[in-house]
Amino acid sequence: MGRPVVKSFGARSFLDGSDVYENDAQIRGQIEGNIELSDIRHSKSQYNMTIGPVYYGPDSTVVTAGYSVDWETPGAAICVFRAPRDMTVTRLQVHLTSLVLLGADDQFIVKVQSLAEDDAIDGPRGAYKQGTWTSGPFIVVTGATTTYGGTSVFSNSYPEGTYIRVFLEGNDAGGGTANKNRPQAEVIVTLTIEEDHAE
Amino acid sequence: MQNKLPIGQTAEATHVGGGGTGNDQLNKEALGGITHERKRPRYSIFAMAVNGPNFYSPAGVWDLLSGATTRRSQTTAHDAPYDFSGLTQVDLFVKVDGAAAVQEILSLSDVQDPENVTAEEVADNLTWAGATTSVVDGTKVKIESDDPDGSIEVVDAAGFGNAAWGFPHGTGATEPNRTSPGAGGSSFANGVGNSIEFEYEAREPIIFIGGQLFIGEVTSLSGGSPPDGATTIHVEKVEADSPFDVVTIDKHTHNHGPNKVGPDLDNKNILMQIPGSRSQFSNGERFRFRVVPNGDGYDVGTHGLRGVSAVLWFKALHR
Repeated sequence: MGRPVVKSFGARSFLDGSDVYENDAQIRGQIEGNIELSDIRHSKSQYNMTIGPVYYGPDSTVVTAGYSVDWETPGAAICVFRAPRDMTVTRLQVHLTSLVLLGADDQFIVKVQSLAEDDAIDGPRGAYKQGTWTSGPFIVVTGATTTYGGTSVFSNSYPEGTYIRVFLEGNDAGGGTANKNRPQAEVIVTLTIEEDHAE
Repeated sequence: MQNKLPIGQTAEATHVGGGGTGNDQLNKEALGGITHERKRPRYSIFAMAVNGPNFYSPAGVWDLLSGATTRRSQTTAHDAPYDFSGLTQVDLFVKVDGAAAVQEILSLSDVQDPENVTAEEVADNLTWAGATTSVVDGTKVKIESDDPDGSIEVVDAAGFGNAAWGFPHGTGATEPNRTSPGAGGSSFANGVGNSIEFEYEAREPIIFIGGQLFIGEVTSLSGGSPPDGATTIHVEKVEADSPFDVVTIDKHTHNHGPNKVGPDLDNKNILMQIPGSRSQFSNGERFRFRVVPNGDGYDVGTHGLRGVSAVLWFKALHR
């Protein structure tokens, strides 16, 4: 008995999985089990990661209740994570609510910074308050208004294993009050992240 | 290295032998025709971030400051006792209310032990007209203008004593006026109290594929004692029809000490993996994530966790 000549293709037609058509059986399994046909044209995920609202301002390392001390708002990371897969930060958004005590001189910068896996074998050294990290997307928040929304579009790719942090710190270019940066604000930061999926 | 999530395909057109006009060739062509553009992943990935600026109670360190007050003062940065052994006197130049600097001298013959000069002895012997010198917190010395709108400026000049006392230089700094964080749930100044709690109700089937918890700092007990207590991370499923039925999917306890962790073994910059993968949630079921610091003798007034954030990744399954 001769083999049938397949004129049309469908998972349930001729791909019957018999031992005569060994390849067919495997391919049918792939088609039925793993692949869907669709008009949706994205094999990637895009999502937002929203951090906050979180208060950014002086903490007990610079201010102690009852004491008069000279202080500046210290830099601090409001979120630290390690890229579980390759990812791209495509957008950074910053919003402040009305609960802000931000002088015109007390600007601060919201930065997305990274530390390569090879440079941090022991872990994310200095992630919370210090450390020399590579700067990526950033937004300078000024104190001109009590409510501020900023959006920046970027395309910063980070390979799997890269440490990523959202770091807030005073902006010296803003002048500061008596050369001090004393921003206080309630901050909401949103990262838009894109992940390609492998075939 | 697998650094991307697969979309599910494990066979490619090139895996099919092809050739001729038989099924293989047709299959090869058919598979090849399913281009990258036409593949739909059966899922998408999304993430959520959770914050807890600190675990202090009350929020304390993150209280909103109301800014300037009318009271001006300067306080020593260093605690008594002060060591002035070998000297006969120490002095300090201070401008009160913007007037010219006035030198005051602390003669060490007036103190009981020049090696251990108390805050009281400093306060009793260093006084300026128009200002009051006092002891605060038992071991610090505070110089405060008597004028509610006045100022105190410690001049960075020939004074001997300030290296030991550590008064800030320059004009009297604004003393922050700490305001009550209030009790309202919407007040960010409350932080999250003693724990992070996050709950998400699935609107389509989701899988928790893992996350990370970052702890900026585990603050130690005063006196340098090793931190005690522990923080427990709970990953839970709350049943759709019975909100009191909670299944523990994963639980991890992180001890604060005595063995310190982090890149520099100083209990700072700690990044912890939160495993997932077994936790599937169908419609209506709720994913719950709790981070609870606890432990015998855990004094939330003096130590705890700071700068805590978590990022949680989910896979949403599409039809």
